[in-house]
Amino acid sequence: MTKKKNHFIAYSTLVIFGLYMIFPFISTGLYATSTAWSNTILPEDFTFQWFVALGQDPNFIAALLRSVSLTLITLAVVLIIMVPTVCLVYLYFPKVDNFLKGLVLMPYAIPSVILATGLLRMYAGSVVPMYAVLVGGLFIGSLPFMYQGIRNSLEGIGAKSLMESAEILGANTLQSFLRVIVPNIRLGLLITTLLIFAGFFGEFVLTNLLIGGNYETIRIYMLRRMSENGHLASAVMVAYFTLLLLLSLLITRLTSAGKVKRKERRSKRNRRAVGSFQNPSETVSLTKQ
Amino acid sequence: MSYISIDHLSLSYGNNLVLKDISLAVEKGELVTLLGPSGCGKSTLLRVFAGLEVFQKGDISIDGEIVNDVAPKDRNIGMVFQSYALFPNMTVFDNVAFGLTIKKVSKKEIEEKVMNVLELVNLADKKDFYIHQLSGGQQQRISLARSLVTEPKFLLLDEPLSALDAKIRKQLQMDIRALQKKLGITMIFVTHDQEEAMILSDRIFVMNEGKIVQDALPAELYEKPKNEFVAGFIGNYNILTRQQKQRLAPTFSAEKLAEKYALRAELIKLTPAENTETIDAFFENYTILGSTIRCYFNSGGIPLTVDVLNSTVDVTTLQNQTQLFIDYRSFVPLQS
Amino acid sequence: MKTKRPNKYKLWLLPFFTVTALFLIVPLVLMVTSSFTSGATGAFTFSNYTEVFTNAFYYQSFLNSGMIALFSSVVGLLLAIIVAYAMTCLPNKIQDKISVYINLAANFAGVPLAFAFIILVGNSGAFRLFFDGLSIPLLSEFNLYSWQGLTLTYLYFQIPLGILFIYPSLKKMRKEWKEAAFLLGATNAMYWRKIGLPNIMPSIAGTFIIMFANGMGTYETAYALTGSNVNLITIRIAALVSGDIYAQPEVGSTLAIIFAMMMLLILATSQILLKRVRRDLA
Repeated sequence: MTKKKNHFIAYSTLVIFGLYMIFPFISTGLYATSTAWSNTILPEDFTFQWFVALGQDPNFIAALLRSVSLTLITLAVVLIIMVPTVCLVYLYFPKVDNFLKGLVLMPYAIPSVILATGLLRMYAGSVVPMYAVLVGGLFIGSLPFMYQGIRNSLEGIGAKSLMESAEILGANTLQSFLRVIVPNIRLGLLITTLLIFAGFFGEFVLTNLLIGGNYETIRIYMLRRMSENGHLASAVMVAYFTLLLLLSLLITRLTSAGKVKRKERRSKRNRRAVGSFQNPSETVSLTKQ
Repeated sequence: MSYISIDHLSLSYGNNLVLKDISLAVEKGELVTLLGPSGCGKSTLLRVFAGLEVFQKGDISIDGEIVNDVAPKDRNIGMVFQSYALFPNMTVFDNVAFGLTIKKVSKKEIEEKVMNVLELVNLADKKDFYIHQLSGGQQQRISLARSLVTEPKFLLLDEPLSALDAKIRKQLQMDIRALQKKLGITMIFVTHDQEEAMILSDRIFVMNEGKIVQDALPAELYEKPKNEFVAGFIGNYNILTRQQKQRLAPTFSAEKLAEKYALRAELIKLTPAENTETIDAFFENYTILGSTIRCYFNSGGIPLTVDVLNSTVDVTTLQNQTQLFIDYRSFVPLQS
Repeated sequence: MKTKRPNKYKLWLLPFFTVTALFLIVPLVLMVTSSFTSGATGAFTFSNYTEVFTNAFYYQSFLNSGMIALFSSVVGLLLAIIVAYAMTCLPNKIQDKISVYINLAANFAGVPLAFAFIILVGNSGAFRLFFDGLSIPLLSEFNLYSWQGLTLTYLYFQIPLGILFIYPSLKKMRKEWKEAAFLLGATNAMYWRKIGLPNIMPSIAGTFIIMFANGMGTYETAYALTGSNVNLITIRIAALVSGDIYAQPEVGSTLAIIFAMMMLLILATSQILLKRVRRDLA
């Protein structure tokens, strides 16, 4: 009998929390669709003019493209290096794996600002282009997240015995890796990639400190616009979140676009392998703002 | 020359010696079991056959050839894992066909062989299913089929039945044994269940702490456990010190003097028989195991377990029992 | 196999360790040496440290950051526990969905968050007008661009972070424990004191440390909200290393080293304390 009451309290708590979480989104949305909202509780009008203005601003398009290209380049580097490394270490070098477990936690103890300080110390004014340094810095920032993501997927599928059984059946290491391991961690990998994508796309600290004004990414553009025209800035934010949302939807669609039979099985397995709550570090790297 | 043999093999992880100077031989067409408690090194030894473990000393040869450094993929053996290790991204058919596609066998031949082996394990109708759609017992049968289809020189089974319920386990024990006899394939089976080992095996290697402590036929193992560990592990024995044996059987002297003796519970009788001697004992308790009744007696401070057939005894009269009857030849001297 | 096979794969690990060395290890080492280098002469010196320790301005920046981090993580943690506990009462299906939304919200921190709070509780924010309209002086003393405002804003991303770490351990608390305790005659309070708390205490403490570190290290949100008006350690360091006029990279490195040392110290002591807490409460 107290169960019902408990549920009611639980739901109310969550609704209040949900409102708190969603309020900033709503207010940003309202601000982006109005021209005057200064002396009233709700905005006085409704308009899409800021979005139109945004579409016509070459700086916005440029910032967007910069963010996208930076994200894609960094993501490519991270994936090419991290996937083989984590797989190899997990399968064959347990000692190195233990060492990595500690190493990837470094970004927790060392906030981006400190990392940026070290990188500036080392590379400012050197022959190494700051763009490459930025990619390197972002790589470091994504370490805990990427390592955990790949490792959880490998653990979830029991990669060790899958690999062994493939090899006993006559496959060489590369064949086993490509035909057995990769197809089975693909979805876990994609989700990790998606989350990192969001993190890179919205990166501010390293970009601002390392390259700053010379390379205006979407968040830097956002900040500059904020002090000039709040409505326009809000429109940028709305566009930014819509984009993130669309990208997430697109990528998850792509994964489940395989055979219908596979879809059901994959989502089932994936929930086990990379359940969102089994891996708190996923969000952490994104919250380091 | 035996079909598969291991010669003075030692393996350690760092300072931890896991396999200590192991030697054993398996003949073609045999089903042998590596039996022992967890941590005794039986699974590690099995993985040595597969080439999945790095060892430091000794040799392993298959079919007269030393294969120490042959990679797992080139050994042409089959292995069934405890966790099945089926590929979740593939259908039943694709799982079974995997080994053949690697060997670039023609499509027609693959189809034929896969279907044959699926018939063999009675799962031909599940060929288009994904692994997660099958029960544990079915998954293990697919795992068996997958390792048989490449016609391996021999098959390794690493506690393949331990994750299944008792009923399915019993059924699969029978199925595996029947299949093994039918195909005449050599199998090395790892288990910690002595009953399973007895049911399945032609020969049993009992392992403890990285060593093989006894190598025997199932019946022989049961009748003559070599030492206290084996007797304790197989169960059903009264283990007596020399002094205790002396008190129970003062007129008996074994050819070899041992510190400990095993006495099988069902060889102690409640009624006199040929060649039996009488000892005094009083009844303490009993438990019904099913077809047998396990009675607990005490003879001058020495606890004795006695197994009798349920049909031959009336439990209400047990407390009237003051004597037990033993054939002195039933004492098995144990090596220390 | 008598010979070790995987050795040939070791080469594949090279890119990873190169990148980590180039962009994490070496820069950190250089930062340490830089903190002992004089900005003017380039010679070895302790002067950067003496300056940092004697200058009240730097001391204050640590204090400010620490206070904001402390407040936002204590309050955030309490709220996180309440919300996470509420989540465990719900069916599993809903639980999974909520976690997805929390992930999404985490991306909001930084510039967008700062701006949203300006709209809501800034000088002419909607909530301020709402309460003013009702003549409730709830927000009249409140200044978003101060450390109070920062604390409130930080809470927005601290709570989800806390939930993400607390929730799994709350989830691990078995219903059977409670049932077993009740059957043995324990009251609800006794259950929490003897079994519940000792079991989640380590993860609460661990979560607190992570939230505190996260609060200390926050830069973007603070920078977007207050520029350089509030004297925070992250903002100070950033200004020292990248500022155009007042750039003093050696002093910046020194602050960064002290900061990193503090973080490591906090993480290390928390590990030791956690072991003790576990033992004492058990």
